[in-house]
Amino acid sequence: MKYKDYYSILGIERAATEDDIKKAYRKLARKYHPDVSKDPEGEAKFKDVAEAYQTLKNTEKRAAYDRLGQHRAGEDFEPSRDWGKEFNTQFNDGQSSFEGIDLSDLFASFARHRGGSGPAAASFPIPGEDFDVAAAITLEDAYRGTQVTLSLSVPVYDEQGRMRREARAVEVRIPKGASNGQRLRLRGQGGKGQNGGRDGDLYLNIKLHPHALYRVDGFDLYIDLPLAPWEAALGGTIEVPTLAGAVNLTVAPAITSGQQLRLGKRGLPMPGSGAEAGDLFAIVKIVMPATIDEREKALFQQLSEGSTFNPRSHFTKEATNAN
Amino acid sequence: MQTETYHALWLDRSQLVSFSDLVDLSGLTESELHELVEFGALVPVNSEEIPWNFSADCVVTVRKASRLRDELELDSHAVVLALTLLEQIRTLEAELAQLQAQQSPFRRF
Repeated sequence: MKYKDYYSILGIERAATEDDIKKAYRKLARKYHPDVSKDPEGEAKFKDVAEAYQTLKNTEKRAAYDRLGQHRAGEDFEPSRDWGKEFNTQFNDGQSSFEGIDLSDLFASFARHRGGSGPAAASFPIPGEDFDVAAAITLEDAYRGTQVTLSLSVPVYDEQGRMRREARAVEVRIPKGASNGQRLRLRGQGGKGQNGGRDGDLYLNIKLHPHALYRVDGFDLYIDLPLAPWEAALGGTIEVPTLAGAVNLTVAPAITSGQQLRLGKRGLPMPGSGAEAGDLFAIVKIVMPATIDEREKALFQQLSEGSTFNPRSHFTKEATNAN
Repeated sequence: MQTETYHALWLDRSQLVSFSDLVDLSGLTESELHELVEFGALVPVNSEEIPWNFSADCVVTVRKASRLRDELELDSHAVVLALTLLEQIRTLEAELAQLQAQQSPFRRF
């Protein structure tokens, strides 16, 4: 079992009072709580902080934790057989092994065995744990629907109420209709309920991988449509890639950089509907070749001399108005 | 390791859930949920009728409310305030994401 220094996690002395423990927890919880923190490590840090608080705020558990002695954080150790007897835990027979148990499971079982809210002691229904899992998928997968494999660590209890965690793989079919931040619920696929309590649920939070071509806004997609100056001037039919395959887009003559051309329902499909889908917006971007050869230069020179177009005519007008 | 395949359901505006569904899924009490509705953190799709129904994305909101209550030790008023501010942040982030999606990063083609 790996040792966790709960006092260090909360940033307090071992002699901290109950009030110190509560203050330290509240300060860190506000900082790392996954609902309010933008720290990418926030969720993991909050889990440690919450685990430390759950043990240290309870006088009995704190005494039991203190009697484990002080070790380096992450150091392998095992509680003595006497420790199990002294604290009348499920391990008080002096025979049960601590193998495969981690510190948080040990104290969760400790609470149950000593009359806490666990299957061994309670007779009332206890709902199973809900699991929240992030599922990162590609835009193509979101468009077609996909299947992901999730590896979960689920708590299981034996007849004595001893909790161990088991690895469980769950294949989840994600239907069409995914976008960033969309949530899915898998009913009853969380932890098992106890004493008739309902099984927990599995919640998926969809994250889309960034795409090389498309940018995503809800169910709408945006793609840059680079046009050569002559294509922008003359218009024409341009092939544009979409998630359903390339389509031909008619570009009107004299189109301007930044103009958005909408391809209706060529974005991401929306959930729960047959034909509803976001749009694909092609944003015109007039681009120049990296180098211009002599012939091209001559053609541009000819165009320059033959055209009366002044793209900065409003400069003069605005400057006159200002004066 | 045992592997099973499951089909997931969207928590979005295309699905409806009942008031009692929200109680079951959040662990909040009925009176706490009433307070969320009363203070506008949760809006039924049929506010003039009883029983109330909600769009399924409210499941995300009530679970968040439950976590804020339990893990940050907030009372109902603080939960409503936090939910309101978090929703404002979510809206601003969505607007930012929209602007970023429309903005072409500089790239020479």
